[in-house]
Amino acid sequence: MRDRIIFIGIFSFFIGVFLRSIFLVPQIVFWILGIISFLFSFSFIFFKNKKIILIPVSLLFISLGVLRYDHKDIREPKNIFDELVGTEVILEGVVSHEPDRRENNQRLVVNFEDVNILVTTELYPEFFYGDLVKVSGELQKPQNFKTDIGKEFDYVNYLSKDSIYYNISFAEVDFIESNQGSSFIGFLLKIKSKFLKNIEAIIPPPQSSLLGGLLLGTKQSLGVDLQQNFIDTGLIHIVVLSGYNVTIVAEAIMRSLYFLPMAFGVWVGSISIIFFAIMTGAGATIVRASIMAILALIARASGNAFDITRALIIAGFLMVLQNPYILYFDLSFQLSFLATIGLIFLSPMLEKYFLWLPKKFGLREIASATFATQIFVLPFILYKMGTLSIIAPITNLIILPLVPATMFFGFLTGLTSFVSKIIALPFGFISNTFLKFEIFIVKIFSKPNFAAIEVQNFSIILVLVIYIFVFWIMFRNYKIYKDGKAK
Amino acid sequence: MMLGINIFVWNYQPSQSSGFLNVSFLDVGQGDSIFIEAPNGKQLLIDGGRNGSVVSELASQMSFQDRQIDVVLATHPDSDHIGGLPEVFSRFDILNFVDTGTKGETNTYRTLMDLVLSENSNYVKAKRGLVIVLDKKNGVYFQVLAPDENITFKDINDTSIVGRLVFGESSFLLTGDASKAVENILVYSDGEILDSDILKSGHHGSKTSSSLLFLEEVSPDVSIISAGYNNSYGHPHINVLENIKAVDSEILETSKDGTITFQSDGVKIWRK
Repeated sequence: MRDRIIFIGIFSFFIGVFLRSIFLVPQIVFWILGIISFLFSFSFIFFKNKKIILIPVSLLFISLGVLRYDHKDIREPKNIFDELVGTEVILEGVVSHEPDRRENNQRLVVNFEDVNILVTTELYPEFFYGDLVKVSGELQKPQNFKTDIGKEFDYVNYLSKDSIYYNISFAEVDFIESNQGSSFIGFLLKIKSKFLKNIEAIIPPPQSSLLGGLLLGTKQSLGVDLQQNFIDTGLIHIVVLSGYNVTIVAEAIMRSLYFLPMAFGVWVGSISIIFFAIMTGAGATIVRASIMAILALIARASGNAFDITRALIIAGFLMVLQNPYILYFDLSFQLSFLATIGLIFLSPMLEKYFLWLPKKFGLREIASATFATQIFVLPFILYKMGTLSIIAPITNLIILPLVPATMFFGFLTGLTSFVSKIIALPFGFISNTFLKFEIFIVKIFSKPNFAAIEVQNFSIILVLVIYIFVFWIMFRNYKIYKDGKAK
Repeated sequence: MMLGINIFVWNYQPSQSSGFLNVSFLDVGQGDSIFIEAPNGKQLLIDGGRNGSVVSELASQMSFQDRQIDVVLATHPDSDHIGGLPEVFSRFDILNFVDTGTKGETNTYRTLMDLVLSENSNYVKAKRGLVIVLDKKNGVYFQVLAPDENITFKDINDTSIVGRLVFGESSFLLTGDASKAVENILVYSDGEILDSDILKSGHHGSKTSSSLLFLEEVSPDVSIISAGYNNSYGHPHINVLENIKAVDSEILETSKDGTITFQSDGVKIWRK
């Protein structure tokens, strides 16, 4: 019962945040809900059925969700510089995120008087996190745009989840001073960049870019074409650092800490995972996977069974509580949770259909996991992006078993290169061979026209119908599956 | 196993001393980049395209553990020629850097010059008369024909290094972005020594270059146009294509053929 109350509470909180994300809920509604739930909490005394308590809990948490969103929304500096839009501005601010270096430009998030401004400028000189810079250019508000296949991309809200409300394109940026950000984050990012430079000194592109993506989620410089190839073959998730990569990293950290006393190991492990998450820029997917990995560590140390469902719910709650915008506006948050639900519930149920695959290299598990996550993310991806990779199950089956080894040797390359390039060279040679093969596969499978198809006008109603259907089938079968296992 | 791989990697030599001269017009989109490897393994990179994509192209031309380029030459400081060079500097050891000393106005140019200093590359200023000897034994050299110190141009394109790469009887003429004005001067001052087997058409096939007079003097078997697919400049220009056809030269474009590599034994040239 206690579990159920918590679950209902969190779920209601999400509903509250969701409702407030799509329309402005007047404050009065919040008060009415509060009063109703207050009254209800007395009324349950008169009912025999104790489940009635769930109603006030639910209402209360819905209103808390609305309130949390309001609280954040009111403080956001959404319109503060609107009068200056369209004019030439000169401002001094600090680069507050790690710069995103693209093929032909770099994108800086510059914090000016607590407002984040997205600044696009030429590739050189290179800027770093924490640099104080002088930016000049025309201040603009971000606009939504249509993607290549005609889908509207909600760029405004996509940026707002990072509190970015203005942008300056083709800006002139002058360096003033470095180390004006958090020195701790600056330190971690410096290690990361040195590590990547080590890799780049040994492994040539585009392999080095893929390795950077696998290990640290760096998006830069795969090149537009190759990136599209990864999307078409349904493998982009390994490049942008999915929960899978984080799990591999967390698993490696835990294993390397086995020699430590348990309690100490949990601390070191958790802190390492947090450091890693910060290094990678702490995107929604990584934060989710990191929270779950830390909960798994704690469960292991305390001797409790690790309840992965509970971990997922807690992770989601903490993240939405911290930034309520991500629930509705952050696609990677949504996909990450959908995929994880698929992994937890659907994947074990699908395994029986893949008995024909050998267990070796985890092939059977990869097959069921791929299908489970695909089933869960596909309708949503179709709705949001409109492309569907048909070849994904095959490419995932070929590539995913190689990912841990690729990451392992790639990591060793970057690490040993701190000592000497000569020592790192053989490791680099091995991981380069893996990476080359992976890129080769991606290029081959993205060639035929059937690798990906485009679907336009995939309606939200259809998406909802599909999800209700999938959930219904899943939970019905899940009970059978669980009962079968219990016997 | 590790030891085995170690020995393999460390002993594995780059594809040097193949006995052939390799010249690759790299597919770097809208821009120029030409990678040259002499029979003795010495390497010369002329220009670096507009962005880091040149490094991927270089990687496919060089062996895995080859981390060094003997000479990097920038014909002139426009971004579609030097844009990728900072990335080249950060990935490879560059022993010598050659340019004309023409100052660029861009941050990319300043970054590049900072790198030349901080990476301790030997700086060489090119002018007419400079000869870069790549392979003494086999007689492979790059002879600079322009810019001439005594002639100054307003247009930065006309400060481009124009040079002729020679191996025995085979020759390549590389003209950067030099316009017809420079071409005319070269026709009068150099005449028949312009005659070359392969010509990189000036300025990505723009109508500002490749005069008929110049093409007749060079009389190339093959003309290369290094430009991006569907580029916004409309390169190559129709008049240029007609001029090239008029001198019976084959046309190859990096936008259609990708990276174009020629090999020479000092007598014959063939496409690889």
